[in-house]
Amino acid sequence: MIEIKEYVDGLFRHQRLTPEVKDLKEEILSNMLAKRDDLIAQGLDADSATEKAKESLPAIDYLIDGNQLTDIGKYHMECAQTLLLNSILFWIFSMPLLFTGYALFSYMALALVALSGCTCLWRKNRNTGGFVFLSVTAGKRRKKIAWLVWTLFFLVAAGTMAALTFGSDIWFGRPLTISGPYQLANIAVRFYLPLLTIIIPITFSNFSKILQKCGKEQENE
Amino acid sequence: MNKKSKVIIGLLAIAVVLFCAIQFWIIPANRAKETEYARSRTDALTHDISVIETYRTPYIGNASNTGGLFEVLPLNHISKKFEINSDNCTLTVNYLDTVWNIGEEKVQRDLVYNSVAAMAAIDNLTGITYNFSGNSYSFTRKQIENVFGTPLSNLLKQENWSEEVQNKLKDMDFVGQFFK
Repeated sequence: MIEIKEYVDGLFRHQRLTPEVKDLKEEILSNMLAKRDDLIAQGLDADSATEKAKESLPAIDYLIDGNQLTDIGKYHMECAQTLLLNSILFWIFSMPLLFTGYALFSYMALALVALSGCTCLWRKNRNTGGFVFLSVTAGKRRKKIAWLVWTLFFLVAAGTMAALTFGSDIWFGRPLTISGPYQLANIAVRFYLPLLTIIIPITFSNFSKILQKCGKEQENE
Repeated sequence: MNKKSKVIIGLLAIAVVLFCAIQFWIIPANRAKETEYARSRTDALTHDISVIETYRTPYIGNASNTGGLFEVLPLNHISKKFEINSDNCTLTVNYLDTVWNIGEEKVQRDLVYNSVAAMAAIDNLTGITYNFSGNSYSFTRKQIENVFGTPLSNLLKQENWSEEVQNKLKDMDFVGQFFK
């Protein structure tokens, strides 16, 4: 019994234990135990019956709701391309920072383009194929978390900048004054910088869409 | 080649062109302009007098205003200390360098220029003394007004300034009369 329980635990090692998954796990465990008992009743010894019961279910990925048979090579290649595309967009939109004291961010974006370009080429030459089960639900969850974290980050960063820039004037009831285009640009860049990081949740959203696109059903269509 | 690859190549080409234009053309051009402007601020013959407008005051007593004024006039790159005598409305500027280091011709021209500018900006300034290591030069309002006319504040319009001050300072014989 302990050996079969450990085996079933191993099958569910990478799964998030939602109530549905827990039910499924219990159901599989009871089915396997029943199968083992049945085989023993038919005259097999306990070890062979346990092995046979384990062999009857080598994987459970296809049983989990939200899992999808995915073309892994295509999925990784498209993800690498999307990462490169978004890095280039990030680089383009960071170029105005070259005129400010935040030029380092633009150079970092350039480094990111080089890095994601290399990843893309490496993926292209690797040519890995085959189908594996990937969780669409987990992809959607990652996307949701990425947007949530980014929204919180942006609100905190923009709020802090606003407080540092205008807090004193607001506190003392003085009118907000922006004396010229240079000062306006100086203020704008403080908000533009955290806004640029929106490329991170966008990339996660793209990955989630790609995952759905690379499913075997989609492939057959 | 799929559609995404074409978009990547197109965007990459745009990004590279933009980056090169900004990095190797626009930014160096801006830096050259800034350097040229900074250089012009340290030369009496090309200095933009409009920058002293914010330092105009009727009285010499305000030390930070006087310090600010000399920061936008030629010789601003030389370290200096100020002494203000409010009783007889005079100013002493102690430059922490030698005339030999800066160049005698430049020092003489810039000191005349700075004296006219300071007296035009500060109405009750009656005299200025400039001390260098080993040299000292003094200018009185009367001496300056005898050459440039009264009131000195009339000179502060850019066209008058160029004609009446900067053009005259090109002639070292004209400058030399203040150092006899």
